[in-house]
This record gives sequence, structure tokens and C-alpha cells, in this order.
Amino acid sequence: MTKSNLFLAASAIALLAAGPALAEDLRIYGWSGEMPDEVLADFEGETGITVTFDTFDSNESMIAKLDAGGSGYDLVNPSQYAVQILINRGRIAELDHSKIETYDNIGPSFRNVSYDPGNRYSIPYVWGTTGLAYNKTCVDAPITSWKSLFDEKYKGRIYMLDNMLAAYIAGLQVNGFSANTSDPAEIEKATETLIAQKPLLAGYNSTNFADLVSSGEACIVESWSSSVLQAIKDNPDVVYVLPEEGGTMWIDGYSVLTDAPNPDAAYKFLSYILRPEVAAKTTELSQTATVVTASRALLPADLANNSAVFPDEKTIANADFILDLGDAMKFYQDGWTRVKAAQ
Amino acid sequence: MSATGTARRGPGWITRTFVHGISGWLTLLTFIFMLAPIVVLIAFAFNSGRSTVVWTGFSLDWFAKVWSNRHIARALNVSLVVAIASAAIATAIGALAAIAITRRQFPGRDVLGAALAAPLVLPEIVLGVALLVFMSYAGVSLGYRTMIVGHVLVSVPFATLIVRAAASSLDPQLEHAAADLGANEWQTFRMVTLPQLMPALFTSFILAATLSFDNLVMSTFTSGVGTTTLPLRIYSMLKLGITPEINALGTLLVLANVTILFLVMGRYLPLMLKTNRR
Repeated sequence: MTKSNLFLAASAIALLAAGPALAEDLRIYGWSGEMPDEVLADFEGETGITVTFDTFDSNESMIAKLDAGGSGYDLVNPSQYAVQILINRGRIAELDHSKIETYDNIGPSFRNVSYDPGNRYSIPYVWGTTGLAYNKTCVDAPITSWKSLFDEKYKGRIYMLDNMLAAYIAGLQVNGFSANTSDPAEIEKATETLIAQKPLLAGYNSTNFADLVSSGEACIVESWSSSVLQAIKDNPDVVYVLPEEGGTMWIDGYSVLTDAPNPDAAYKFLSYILRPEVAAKTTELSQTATVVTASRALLPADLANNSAVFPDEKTIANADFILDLGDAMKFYQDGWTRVKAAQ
Repeated sequence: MSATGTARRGPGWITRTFVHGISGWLTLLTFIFMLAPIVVLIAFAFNSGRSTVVWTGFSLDWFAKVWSNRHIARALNVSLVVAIASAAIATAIGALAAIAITRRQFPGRDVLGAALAAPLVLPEIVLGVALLVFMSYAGVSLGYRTMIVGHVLVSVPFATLIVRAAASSLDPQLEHAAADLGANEWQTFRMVTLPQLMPALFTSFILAATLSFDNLVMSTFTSGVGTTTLPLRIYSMLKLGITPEINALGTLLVLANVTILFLVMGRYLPLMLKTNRR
């Protein structure tokens, strides 16, 4: 009896141990549309590792899922402030940079990001900005400031992003505050600004605003850089700018989970995606810039010189970074509820 | 138009068409209100451009794109597995519970009836969060199992209600007759009760499967590695904006749903007509 049990246990352990060697799996929990299928398929072809790529719709729902523990994922794809939250909750592991052969390909400006100095917990990968997009045919002069989103002149043809933190970027920066403030008085002022703006809006929209600005139905929209690129390509009248107040920059990176079943495959994947040719492919297919500086030279000229994809250094330095606001988050949430409820 | 049959329009024709016919007009308006967005969705699935607002020409490219998107194929697969499994389980549980409640006398019968309907009134998001917390507490890893359990929870009240309605209208004399003729309880159930409940079971299965297939909230909390369902995938795709790819996918789903609807109606219309004749 005991003997057969022992035998069973032994064979079970042997099976478990042999499992990963036979067929390696890598489970990634990430944003949709930022990691092209082709890149995943190439990686599978080269390494023989099978990739499962599940998607989430927001950092918040991703954090909730991982917080429950035992998620079973190896790699997760959080935005900058979500990295801080995941570090605080002990969900992501400190990285061993020696296992990432291509670590040195990361551009110098992405080595020391404020949310994770020295990339100890996350490898930044794709990045973009939050600014505004407008249709040239309905404005007299180029738009350069958030102020235009609050201009009577465009009443009924303005859309704001339907996202709390994104809407507050404009609300705060137009008042001269940092988009990353945790001062209740500044957040309150921004709330009032956003409430006062409401009668001018055609709506809050974070799905098809690029279409609306391209068709001319909307004149000026608050926008994520990556979302309007295709519209710009199709319609030369669409312009994307980072406003003079700064706008913000976002980075989505990859972190290895503390309870990752297969961290080795995760490191192989990180080493793979940081290769310049792979990063270039990612940029070409997803129309989003990566942190791999050397990849820019491999891109077609129109993409490499597109200022909506690659804003100049000065503009980037001027942009704010949305970080984890900790306890101040409740002021934003209260204010946002009032903004959404206002007439 | 006029029932009086005069060639000349009587003075009351406006009243007759628009006031007396008001329920007809309202029905028509309701249909337009409900179906117009779907018509627009389907139309733009055939747009050659990337826009869902500006029409640039006819093309089938977006359908090809949906076809070649391996994430969508996989998500569809997950959705179907979960829908069929959860609908089968929910129908089985619903049927047994419904028969027990309508046919048997036992203490706590009313409580059971109410408890089975509880998920109907509880917000689904509460159930989802509760299930996520419970699963992680119990150490169950998220995946097919948790998602099927979650979807069963959502669809069991509907299954119970449908089968209960059918079971309560069954004639108990038939079962008594079967018993008189020497059938044991199992034989009576299998050969007399079950065949009579078949239409209700079929309805309940289709409804439960549809509920599961459309589910977003419960799936958000209970999905795990490799079990992203189609609604979850579509929802995460919205971050990059709505492209006609989503329209094309929507069109295919509408097509699938309409097919199922006709299937159900094809099964039911004859049955309903038969009942009415009797």
C-alpha cells in the first residue's frame, strides 16, 4: 500500500519535472494590440515555446486579477503606475538583468524611469504620449494648448478621453498644475475646470474618437498618440500634438510575476523582444514606439520621422509621467464622479 | 385601408391609421430603434477603410482579418467550450431542482426555490468578485473550471425558472398511470417525465448557452491562463479604438445568433401550433 503510494508520488513528481522540458509554455497577461501576433509567432518558431497571450482591458482589472494570487501567468504587461502598485503588493519579482542578453539595447532615457529606477522590476517596452488631436479643416491656426479643449468656439465638437486619469491630465495642466499632483486643492480646481467644460463637450470617448476627428464630426479631441496614428495616415488633415503645457507620457513594460511557473521562458521572451529587428517589427505592426533606440534606424522613413510616434527629446522631457498617486487617488475618484454626474 | 370600403378616404382616416394603429406604429419604432444600430454595424463591417464612421468602399478584408486572427479563433473556441459546458450543467441542475420543487414535498422547499433565484437579483459583479475571492482562498487556479462554475451560477436561475414552469404544467396523472403499469421511479422519469420536459430543457440549454456566450462581467473575474473569451477579447481590443474588424466579428456573431434563433423557432413553431390546436 505505502509502497505503491510512494511509487505513484514518485512518478507524479517525475512527470511534473519532465513536463516543462517536453513542451515549454509561456503565459503572458497583456494589453491587446501592443504585441503583434507575428512577433509571438516568430518567437514560438525560434524557441519552440508555446505562448498563451491573454488580454486585459485596464490596469485596474489586471491588478485585481493578479491580487487574487496564483494567476498562473509568467509575464505581465503593466503601465508605469501599475508597476508601482504591483511592486508594493509583492506581485512582481526583482529582475535578474544578467538573464536578459539584450538588456543593453534599452535606450538610455528608459534605464532610469522614475517609477522603477534602474528597471529593477520592469523592462519598459512600448511607449507613447497623451495629448490632443485635431482636424486642420476646422481650426484657423495650429492648436498648441489644452486651452482649445476649453474654448467656446469649438462647442459641441470636442471630445475628452473617457478615462479618469486621462481627463485630469488636461484639467490639471491647463491650470498650470502637474498631471501627477496629489494636492487636494489642485485636484479640486481641476474638477471644477472639467465640470465647467462639460457643456462644451460632444462627449467622453476613448474608443472611436480618432474616427470622429478624421471625419470632421469632432474638431479637437484629447487623444492617446497610438490611437490616432492610423487616422493620420489615412487623412493628412488630422494632426496630433503634445500641448505646450506638457501632456503626459506612458510606458507599458513587462514584469515577471513572483509566482511565475516558468520564469526562464519569460527571460527568453524579454531577451527576444529587445532585439532591434524585433522591436522594429513591433513598431511597424502596432504603430507604437519601443524603448529599443537602435530599432528606429530599421523603420521605414515615414514612420521613423513621424513626430506623433517619436516626439523630439525636448517635448518628451516636458511631458509629465502619471505615477501611482496612492491615497490621493480618492480625491480624483470623488472629483471624477462629480464631473460625470454634472450636466 | 378603410374597413367601410368607400373609395373616398373618410374624414377619420388619420385617426384610424395613426391613433387606432398606435400599437403597431410603436412596435415598428421599437424594432427600428433596436435593429438600426445592428444594421449600421453590419454595413461598416464591409467598409474598405479603417473608419467606422466614414464609408470608403466595399471590401471583405475585415472578415479575412478576423479569420486569420489567431487570438479571435482561440477566444471563440474558449467561449464555445464554456457556453456548452456551463449550459449543460446549468440545465441539468435546473431541471432536477425544478422537478424536486414541483413534484416533491420536503422541508425547505420554498427556501430552495428562492435560493435558486437569488443570483437573478444579486448584481453579477458582486457574484464575480465573491467567486474570485473564494477561489483564491480555496486555492483553485483560475481557468475553465472557475469560469464554468461562474457561468453556471449566472444561468441556473433561468434554467430553473424555465423548467419549473414546464414541470408545473405537466399532468401528474401520466406519472401515476406509468406507476400503475409497473414502471419504477427511474423508468417513469426517463420514459414519461423527461420526454415531456424536452422542449423546456432545450430552451433552457439554448438560453443558458447564449447567456454564457455573451457574458462579460463574470468572465472578467473568473477567467485564467488561456481562457480569454470572445467578449473579453473584444472588450480589450476597444482600447485601440473600434475598427471594422470588430464590426466584422459582430456581424458573424449576429449571424450565428440568428441561425440559433431560427433553429429554436423551427423546433418550436410546430410544437406551439400543435398546442394551440389542442
